[in-house]
Amino acid sequence: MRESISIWFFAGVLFLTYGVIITTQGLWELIHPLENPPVLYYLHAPIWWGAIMSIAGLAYTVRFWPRVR
Amino acid sequence: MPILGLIEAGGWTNLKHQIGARLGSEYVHLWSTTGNFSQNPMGIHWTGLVFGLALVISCGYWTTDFLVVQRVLSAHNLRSARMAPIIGAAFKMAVPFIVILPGLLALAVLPYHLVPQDVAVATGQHSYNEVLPLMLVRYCGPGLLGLGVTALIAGFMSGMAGNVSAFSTVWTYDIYGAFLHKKATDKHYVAMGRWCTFIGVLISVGTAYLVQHAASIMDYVQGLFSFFIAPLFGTVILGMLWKRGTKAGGFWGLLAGTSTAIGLWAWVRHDPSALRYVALSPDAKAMAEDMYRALWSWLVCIIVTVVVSYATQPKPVSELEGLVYGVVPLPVEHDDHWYQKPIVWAGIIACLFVILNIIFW
Repeated sequence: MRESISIWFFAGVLFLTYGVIITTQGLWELIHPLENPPVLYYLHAPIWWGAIMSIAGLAYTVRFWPRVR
Repeated sequence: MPILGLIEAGGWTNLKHQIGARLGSEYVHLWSTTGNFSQNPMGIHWTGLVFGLALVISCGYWTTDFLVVQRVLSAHNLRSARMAPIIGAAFKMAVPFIVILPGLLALAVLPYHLVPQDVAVATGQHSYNEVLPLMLVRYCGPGLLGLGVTALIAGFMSGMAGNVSAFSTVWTYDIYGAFLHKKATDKHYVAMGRWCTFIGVLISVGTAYLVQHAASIMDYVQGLFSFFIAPLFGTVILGMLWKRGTKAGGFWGLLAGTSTAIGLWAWVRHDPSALRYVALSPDAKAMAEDMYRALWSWLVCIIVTVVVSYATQPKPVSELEGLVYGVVPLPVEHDDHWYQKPIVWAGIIACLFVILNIIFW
């Protein structure tokens, strides 16, 4: 029997999903440079920002994963 | 956006210098320019901020807004209920960094000037209301831009869904079920709640068109707060704390307060020179008018409630048990550690609040 799902697990999954999407988009932009790059494009913010979100999301997902009693 | 914007502007100090050079230093101070209506971009005096915004609108929002109250009421114990607004206040203090900072960055880094909504509609320029999408376009490539716009829309929908749900609950439980149709079946109330949600969404869509007539979205929101939340705060605070308050006092006080707010708004729309009476200065701007209007409507509500209450028969104290402060038995709390006490966290938040005000003085 599994315990009830914590709201923090849900928050972690959301963060992780967004993080993975943003990181993937950042990597895609790195491999295929944009024709009209936005301002500060050279910083590749989506990669590090997405990575931070992914790590935070992964930590919460694992920590609050619904466990079997 | 705030992080990338600060990198582009060259840090907070450079941002202040750039805004100062383009528009004037009054945009980056909270209090130092509020000694005179004409010295700050909001066209407001500190009395409007302290008494209108802080004392009436903010306290009213935190104590009467159904969305806020609903969350506190659903807490599973008294400590959680007390901690909810304290944690909310901590996050609320972070809001300027994601709402106001992008606006300041836009003033510094965008190659064009933003203008009020009415000027933007007439001339085709960009208005203040477009800051977030404009900054998203500036820093995000095509894929992330789509995600950012989706997140913005999701945020709007979440806020609207909460309010529509609150509208449906209040109408179905507190008005329809309590007064109009007391003996209906649960199935009937569920159907009424669903129809209310549908109608609430339609009303929300309709009210969006009203924003077009306001100076900005913020002005529209503060205007609505001054109509409804400010007088309601007067009624709620007296009802909670004053045993002598009566039913007639509450009703006439709330009606007088709301009528005052709507009357003052109509007066200034009809005769713009009335601004010097409502907002105490001809140099006041829309937001300042909203805050003083909230203050006047709250004062009228309080005065009328007190006068009518003294003129009418009070309820015996025995009938007020569980309703008014002083006749409600408060449960005693036992926290295991000092850091679990709400007062400790409230103190920390209060200190942070003072420090932020000094930093951005």
